[in-house]
Amino acid sequence: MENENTNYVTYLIELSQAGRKNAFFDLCKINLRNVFTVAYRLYPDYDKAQQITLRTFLIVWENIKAFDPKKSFMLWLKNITIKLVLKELMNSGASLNPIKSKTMYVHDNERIENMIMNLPNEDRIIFVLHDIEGYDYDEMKDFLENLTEDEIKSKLLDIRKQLIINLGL
Amino acid sequence: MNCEEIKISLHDFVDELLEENYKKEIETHLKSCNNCFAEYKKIKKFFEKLKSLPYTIDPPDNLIEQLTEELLKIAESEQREEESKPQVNIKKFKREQAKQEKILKNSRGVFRKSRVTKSIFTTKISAPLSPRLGLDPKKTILTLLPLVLFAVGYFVYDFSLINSPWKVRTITGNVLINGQIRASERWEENESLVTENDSKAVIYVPNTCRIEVDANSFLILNKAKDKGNRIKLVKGSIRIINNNLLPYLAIEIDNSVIHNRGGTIAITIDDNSITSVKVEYGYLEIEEKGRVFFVDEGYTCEIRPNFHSGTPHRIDAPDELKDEIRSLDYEFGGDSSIQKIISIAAESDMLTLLALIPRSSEMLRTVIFNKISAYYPPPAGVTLEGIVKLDPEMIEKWWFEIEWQI
Repeated sequence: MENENTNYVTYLIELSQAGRKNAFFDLCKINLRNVFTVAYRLYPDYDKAQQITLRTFLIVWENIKAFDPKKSFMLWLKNITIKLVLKELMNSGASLNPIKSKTMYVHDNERIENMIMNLPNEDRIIFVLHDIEGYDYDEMKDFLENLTEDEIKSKLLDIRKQLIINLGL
Repeated sequence: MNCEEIKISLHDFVDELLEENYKKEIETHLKSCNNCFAEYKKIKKFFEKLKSLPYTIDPPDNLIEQLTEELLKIAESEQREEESKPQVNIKKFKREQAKQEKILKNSRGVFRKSRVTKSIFTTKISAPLSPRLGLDPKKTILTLLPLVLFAVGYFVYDFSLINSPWKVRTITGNVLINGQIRASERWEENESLVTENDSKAVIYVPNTCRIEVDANSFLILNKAKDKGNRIKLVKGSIRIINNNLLPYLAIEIDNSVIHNRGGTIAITIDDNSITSVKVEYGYLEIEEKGRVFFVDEGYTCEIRPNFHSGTPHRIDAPDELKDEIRSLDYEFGGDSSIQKIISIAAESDMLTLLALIPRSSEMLRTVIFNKISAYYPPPAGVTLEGIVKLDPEMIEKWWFEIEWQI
């Protein structure tokens, strides 16, 4: 993926690589919402998503010297977050507790978010990575090693079909 | 393709994964088949709904505080790890050093030239350039060519760094460049820029920053070169806003040079030639007679003619602390002032105390070390002994460690 870093982000990365922790905090502040959102959509548990976000930034701090500022910093962060989520889900074993569904939704967005969060773990990961975060099938194989590209694709179509039905479209 | 096949391919069609000929085939089919078109519309509508999902979700408010705590823990454990490392075996170290020196000695001398030199010495000279000098023109050219190429390359590179003229925009009143009001509003190297009583201007430094110039200011552009921009502020007020990667702008004032290291800084020279430097964001470096020190965000410092630069202190420090610093800097307050400053200083004044270390007696350096350590333990590699001996690397390392926490 091409470099999406702004000049300011590159500047902060370089300062962080030199050990400047306040520059690193600025980097964290810039990317905090994005990282938390990925973590929460993949692992819909507020506390757990918070822990994963924290761990992502700590891993980044430990490895920032080795990061090439010409590459996308946001993509690097997201990849670390996704790997941490997968590890957590694997350790937790069972499916997550379902998120309570409401009988009435003020906005359609809330209903869709709820449906996505209540998908089974693997389905949710496939759907969020492809249709929300924009990863392509080839990139997704890095995270879902036990699935082939065709299997991912076929599962995604089934998930979409189910969501379309649930949304009453 | 029949309807079933079309329905399977519709997702790829929406995902834009199909080749042009398939795409056209589906488009043609959709125009003629109501059933498939209805299916297509459903998928389209679904993606429109997905697009309307908020891009981000609000994280908990205390997440950054938690991150700060975690990073502090890491810093502390790194320090413990460093302290627990075994000391270097001095004898072993010296023995290795002696071995190394022996190898170096053997590789020096007339008979052990490097490969290149040796080949020049041993090559038979076939056609001397001049009988007296005995030089082979081919060899001479080949030897000198890299040097010439390097010199030319450096000249071209150096020339490409020139970035003048700088653009000047008049905000109000008249701005005089080299004593004239210029329609072009361009500022060249070695030219002056003066703002009048009611005038203000903005200078754009290419790839570096912008400088807001207040009324009654006088500046000279000494060097307009990327990685070496330099202006002199003779009097007045300027505010520098960095808008790029590592900025390269130095501001000469009296006997000091201020290096903008990113962020926003304000510099004022009043009618008594007293310079006041304030860092609104980021930090800067002041270079003065071979001594270099930092001024951090939220800190200020004064520079007076015939005195060393003043001690950096918080812009909102209590008056009592500011008075004592003034007494130390300009009224020869000495150790008694330093002692008072140590006792008044709060947690957020630790960078001020750190700046006082080089100006204190050895005994007071220990006192300062202990006071700072109580709030910000020295990072790995910073020791009392090193600080008392004014090891510049240790002072700088500790400064950066405190800076991010403040």
